[in-house]
Amino acid sequence: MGHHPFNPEHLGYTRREFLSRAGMGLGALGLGNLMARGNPLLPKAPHFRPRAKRIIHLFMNGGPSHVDTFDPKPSLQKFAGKMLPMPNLPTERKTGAAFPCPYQFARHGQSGLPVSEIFPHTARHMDDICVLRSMRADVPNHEPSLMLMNCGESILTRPSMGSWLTYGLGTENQNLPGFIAMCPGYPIQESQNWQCSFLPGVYQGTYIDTRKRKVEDLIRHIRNPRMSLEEQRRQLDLLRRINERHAKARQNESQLEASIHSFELAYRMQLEATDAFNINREPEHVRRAYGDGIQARQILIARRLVERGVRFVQVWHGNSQPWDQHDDLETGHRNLARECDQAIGALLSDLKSRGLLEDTLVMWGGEFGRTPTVELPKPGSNAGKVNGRDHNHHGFSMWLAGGGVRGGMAYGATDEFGFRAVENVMHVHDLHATILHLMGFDHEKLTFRHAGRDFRLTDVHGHVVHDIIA
Amino acid sequence: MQGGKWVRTPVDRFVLARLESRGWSPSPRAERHALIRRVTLGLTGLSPTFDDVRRFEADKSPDAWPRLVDRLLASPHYGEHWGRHWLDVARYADNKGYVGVGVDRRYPYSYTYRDYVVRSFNEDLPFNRFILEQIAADHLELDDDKRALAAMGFLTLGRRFLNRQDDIIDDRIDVVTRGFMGLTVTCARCHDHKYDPVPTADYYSLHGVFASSMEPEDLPKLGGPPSPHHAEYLKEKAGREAAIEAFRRETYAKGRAELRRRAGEYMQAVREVAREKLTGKALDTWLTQRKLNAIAFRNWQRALVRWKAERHPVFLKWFGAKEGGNPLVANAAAGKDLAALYSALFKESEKRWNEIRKKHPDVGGLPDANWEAIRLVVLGPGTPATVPENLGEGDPNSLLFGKRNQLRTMRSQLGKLAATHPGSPPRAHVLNDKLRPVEPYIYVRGSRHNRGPKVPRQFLKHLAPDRKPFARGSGRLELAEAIAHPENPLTARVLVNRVWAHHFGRGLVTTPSDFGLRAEGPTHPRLLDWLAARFVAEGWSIKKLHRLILLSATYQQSSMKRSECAGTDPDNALLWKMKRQRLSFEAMRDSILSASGQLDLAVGGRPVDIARHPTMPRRTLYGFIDRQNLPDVFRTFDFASPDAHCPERFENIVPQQALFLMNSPFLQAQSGQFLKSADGQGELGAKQVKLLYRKIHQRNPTAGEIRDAIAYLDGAPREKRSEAFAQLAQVLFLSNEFRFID
Repeated sequence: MGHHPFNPEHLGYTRREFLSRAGMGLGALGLGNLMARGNPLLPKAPHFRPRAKRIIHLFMNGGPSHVDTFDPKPSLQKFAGKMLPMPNLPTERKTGAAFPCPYQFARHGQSGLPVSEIFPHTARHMDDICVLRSMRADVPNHEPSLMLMNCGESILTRPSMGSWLTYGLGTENQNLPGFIAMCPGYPIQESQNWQCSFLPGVYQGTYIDTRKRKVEDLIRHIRNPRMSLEEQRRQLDLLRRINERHAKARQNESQLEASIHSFELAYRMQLEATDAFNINREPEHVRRAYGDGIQARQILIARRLVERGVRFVQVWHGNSQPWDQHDDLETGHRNLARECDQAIGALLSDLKSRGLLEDTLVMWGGEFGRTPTVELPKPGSNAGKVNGRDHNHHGFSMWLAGGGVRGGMAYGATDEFGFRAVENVMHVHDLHATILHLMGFDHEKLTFRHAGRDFRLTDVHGHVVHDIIA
Repeated sequence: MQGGKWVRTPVDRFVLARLESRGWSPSPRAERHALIRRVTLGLTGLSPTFDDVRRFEADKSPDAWPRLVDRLLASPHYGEHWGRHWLDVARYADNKGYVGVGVDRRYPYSYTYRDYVVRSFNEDLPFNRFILEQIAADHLELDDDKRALAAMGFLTLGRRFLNRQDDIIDDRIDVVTRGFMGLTVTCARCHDHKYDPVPTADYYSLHGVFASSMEPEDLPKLGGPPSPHHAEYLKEKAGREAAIEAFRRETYAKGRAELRRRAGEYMQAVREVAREKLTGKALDTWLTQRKLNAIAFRNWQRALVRWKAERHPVFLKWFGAKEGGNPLVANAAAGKDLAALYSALFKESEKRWNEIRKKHPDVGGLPDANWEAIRLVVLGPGTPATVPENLGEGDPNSLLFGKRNQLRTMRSQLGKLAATHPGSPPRAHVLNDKLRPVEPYIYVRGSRHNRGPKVPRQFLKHLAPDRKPFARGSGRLELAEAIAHPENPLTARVLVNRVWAHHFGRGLVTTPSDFGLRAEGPTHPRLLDWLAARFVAEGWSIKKLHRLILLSATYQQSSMKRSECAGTDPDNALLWKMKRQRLSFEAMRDSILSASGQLDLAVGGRPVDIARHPTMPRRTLYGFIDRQNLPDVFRTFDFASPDAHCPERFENIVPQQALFLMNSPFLQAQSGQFLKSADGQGELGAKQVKLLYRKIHQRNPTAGEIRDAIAYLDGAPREKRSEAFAQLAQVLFLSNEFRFID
C-alpha cells in the first residue's frame, strides 16, 4: 500500500474519523453562513424539481457511424456497391456507392431495440436506453461540431454545457471539482471543449489526462510531496490561528472567513479526490466487470466521481479523434467498440444496482455520425482504400440512459438509408434544451449577462423534447 | 467626524454629499502601514518593503502622502501593473487560439504590444493619443522610432476563430467599442441593438472599416538599435531557410524521377482514356484511382498529339508503324507491353546520361544521337514528364503535395525562431488599409450571404448625429478620432470609471464596459462627470487622474466594516469605507517572489513560461499567455479570460486556490528560500521569525506571534526544524494578511 500516500489508515484511524478530524474547528466558525459568500460552487437549486442530478457524457470523439451501431439500415444491403436511389448529401468529402453495415444487428430486451454486434454489453441495457436516431448538427467538420455539441455554438467562444450546469447548480461535493473532463490525451480543440468562456474561471472543466496512472499525477497539487498529512494538519492549524486573529480584528468579514474555510475544504479535498480517483479501492469483481484498459479505468472513475456528487463528468474516448474512420471502418469500429463496450455495460449495471441511474443521466455519442455511403479516395485526405465513411451531420444517433429518460425507446428516425434525420428531428440545441430540462432548468432562463446581453447555452434555439422523458 | 475637515480634494465633496444625505459619515483614515501597502500594491502590483513602510511611518511631514504617490507613479513597475489592467481590456494573449491541427498558433511579436502598453503608462502617454495609436498608428506620422506601430496589437492579437474573417472583425469591433466606449455594439450584428441606440447599419459601417484593413505578410520592424544577437539570428534563419529550400528541391527531384519512371504508364493512360472517351470528373476519378498526376497526364496527352502529327521518330512505333523511326525503338523486341518497352528505353537513356555526366560534367548530350533523342523525351526542355514548380502545396497535383505537413512544420520552426530568438528584430502586428476600401452592406440577420442595403463606412449615429462618411482609406483613423474626440460623451467617462474601479474595487458604474441603458446608472453621476471633464481638460493624463483620486480622503479611508452602514449598503456603493480587495494572481505571485528575494525586476521582452517548475522568476506579466490552453493556475485565481475583451475580473475564493498555495512546487520553492537567508545565523528562532514577518508582512511580529512561531518550530522533530521554518514562511504567504489588502 506504500504507493497510496493518503491512505488514512496509515495514521491509525478510519477515514470517517479522519474526515471529521480534518474538519475540526469548523463548528466554531459557523460552517453554514460562512460559506454563503465567496464560494461560487455551493450547491444551488435549479428552477424546478430535476429528474437528473448529474451527468456522465461518454464522448465518442471523431464521430461513430450510426448505421453500424444503433440505427440499422437493411436497405443499404440492396444497394451494396451501387449508388443510392437518391443523391448523396454533401458532406466533408465525396462519397460514392452505398456501403452496407458490415456487422449483424440483433434485437435486445423487452423493447427489442436493435443493436449492432459490436456493442454486446451495451445491448443488454436497451430497456434502459433511449436511442436518439434523428440527431442533427450544422456542418460536417469536427471542430465546429465539437463546439456545437459541447458549447452550443460552432465558432464563437461560449461556455460548455458542463460549465453552465456547474454555474447553475454548484457542486454537491465541495471536496471535488464540479465538472471533470477525462481523456487519454487531448481531443482536437483541446480544452475549448470544456471551456467556461465568459463564465468565472472556477466553472471551467477540470481536465484529467487518464494516460497517467498515479493518482497524484491525475490532479494537480492534490498532495504535498514533502509533507505528511499530519505535518500539514499542524501547519494549517497554525494558519487558522493566525487567520482567526487577523479576522477577529476585522469583524470576521465574510471574504476572510471564506478564505479560511477554503483551506479546510482543500485539506479534505486531498483525501477525497485521491480516494475518488483510486480505482484500486474497488473490489476485484467490480474491476473485473469493467474490464482492462484506459476506457475501463476512466469509466470506472466516472462512476466513483458521480457517486461522490460530481455534477458533470465527461469521458472522452481518446486522443485526437479515434472514431473518425474514413478508412478501414470495419476493423476500426469493431476495435473501438471493444475498448469501451464492456465498461459502458458495467457502468449501466453498476449505476442501476446502486440506485444511481435514476438520477444520473448517461449520454453516449460523438459530434456527428457517418455517411451510409462509402468515402471516395481523394489525394491528400484519403489514400483510396474505399472502405470507410465520411462525416455526417445531416442525421446521426446518440443515446441517453437514466436521469428521467424513457428507456427502451428509439426517438426519431433517419431516412431509409440513414443519410438524413427526417422524423422528429432533434438538433443539438434541442438536446441541450432537453438535458437542461432534465437537470431542472428552463433553458431560456439559465442565463449570464455578458457584453451587454443575457447569454444562454441554447442561444435563441432549442426545444425540450418531452417525448423522451419518462 | 466633522465632514468639512475631512475633505482633502474635490473628489471628497461629491462623496461626502451622498454620505451626508444618508446621515452617514466617512470612515477615518487607515493606518499608515495599511495605506502604504494599499497604494504600493494598487499602483505597482508589488508589496512595499519593510524599509519603505518604516520610512513612511516615520515621515511626519504634511506632504508625505503625495510624495509617496508621486514616487510610485514614477516607478517603472507602475506601467507594468497598470499596463496589465489595460491588457485585460485588450484581451491580450500570446497566441491565436485553435487554428487547425499542427498550425503554428503563436503571435511572434505579441510582446511588442505588451511592452508598448507598459511604456505608454510609464510615460503617461495622453490617453487620446493612446487611442489613436492603437486603432490607426499606421496612419500617424512617426519618426525613425516606429514602436508606436506595435500599438495596433490592440486590434490584431485576438482569437482567430478558424480564420473566419467576419468573426475576427466582430472581435475587433467588440474590443474597440466596449473597450473604449463601454458600448456593446456587437449586439447589433444580427439585429438592431435591443436596448441601446445602435442599429445594425452602424455595426456594418464599422465592419466595413475593418473589412477594408488587412494584415501585411511582412510585419514592419520597430526600429531602434539592433540586438547584439542579430547576426546570430540571421545565420540561424538562413540555415533553416536553406534547409527548407533543400527539402523542396529534393522533393521535386524525387517527384520528377517518379514521373519519368512511369512515362510508359502515362503513355498507356493517354491511349486508354482516348479509347474510353473519359473526360471531366470521370477522368479525374480514373486518374486518381491509378495515382496518376493530372497535370503530367495532360502534358503527355498534348505531347503525344503533337508528336503523332510531327511523326516523331521515337514514337512512330507507338502509333503503329511497322518500321522506321528511331532504330533503338524500332529494333527492340516488342512484347505485348509496348509501354513497358518505352519505360525501359527512357530508363536506359537516363542511366547512360548519368554515367557520362559523372565523367564529363559539362557534356551537352549523349554521343549516340538515337539515345539522345530518347533521353530528350523525358529529360529535355518541354518534357511532358514534369509538373510546374509554382503550384501551391495544397494542389493535389503539386509534387510537394504529400510533403505539406513536413513543410508546414519546417516553416513553423522558422516562425518559432522569429518569435523566440533574442536576435530576431521586434516587429509590430499591424493593420494596413487595403488598396481599395470595401463598400459594406448589411448582413441581414448576421449572414454574409443575405445581402441587405449598402451602408457607408462611418461612426455611430447616436454619438455623432452630424456624422459624415469616412473619406480616408479604410476610415480607421477617422474612427479613432471620433472615439478620442473630447466631445465624445463616453470615452473619458469609461476610462475614468475603469481607473476608479481598480482603486476602489468597484466602479462608479458597476459595469465598466457597458454604459448602455440596461446598465445601472452611476452611484455618483456628478463625480463621474467632473472627473471625466477634468481628465480631458488636463490633457488626458492618467497619472494626474491617479493623483486626483489617491490624494482624496475617500481613498485613504479605513477598510473596517461599520454595522450602521453595512446593513443597508453592504456593497459600499456610497463609499463609506475602503473595500478590502484580494490580491490578483499577478500581485500575489510577484509579491511572493519579491519577498523570497527571487523576483527578477527586468522590464519588457519576450514572454516566458511561468507555469512550469522551476518557474522563471519574471513578473507574472511576462508569462506566456496561451489562450487555447490557459494553465489552470491562471484560471483558478480568476485571471482575465483572454477569449474576449474582459471588463473586470471575478473575485472567487475556492479550495483549488488553497490547494495551489498548500502544495504547489512554486510555494514550496519560494518558502524554502528563507532557509538560505537564515543559513549560518545560528539556531532558527525568534530572530529569524522576525525576519520572515518583515519580509512577508513588512512589519515586526507581536510577542504572541513570535511565541506561536517558536512553538511551531519546537513542535517539529529536531531534524525537521528547518523544514518547519520553511513551512512557517509558507503559512505567512497563505495568510489572509498577505492575500488581502486592507
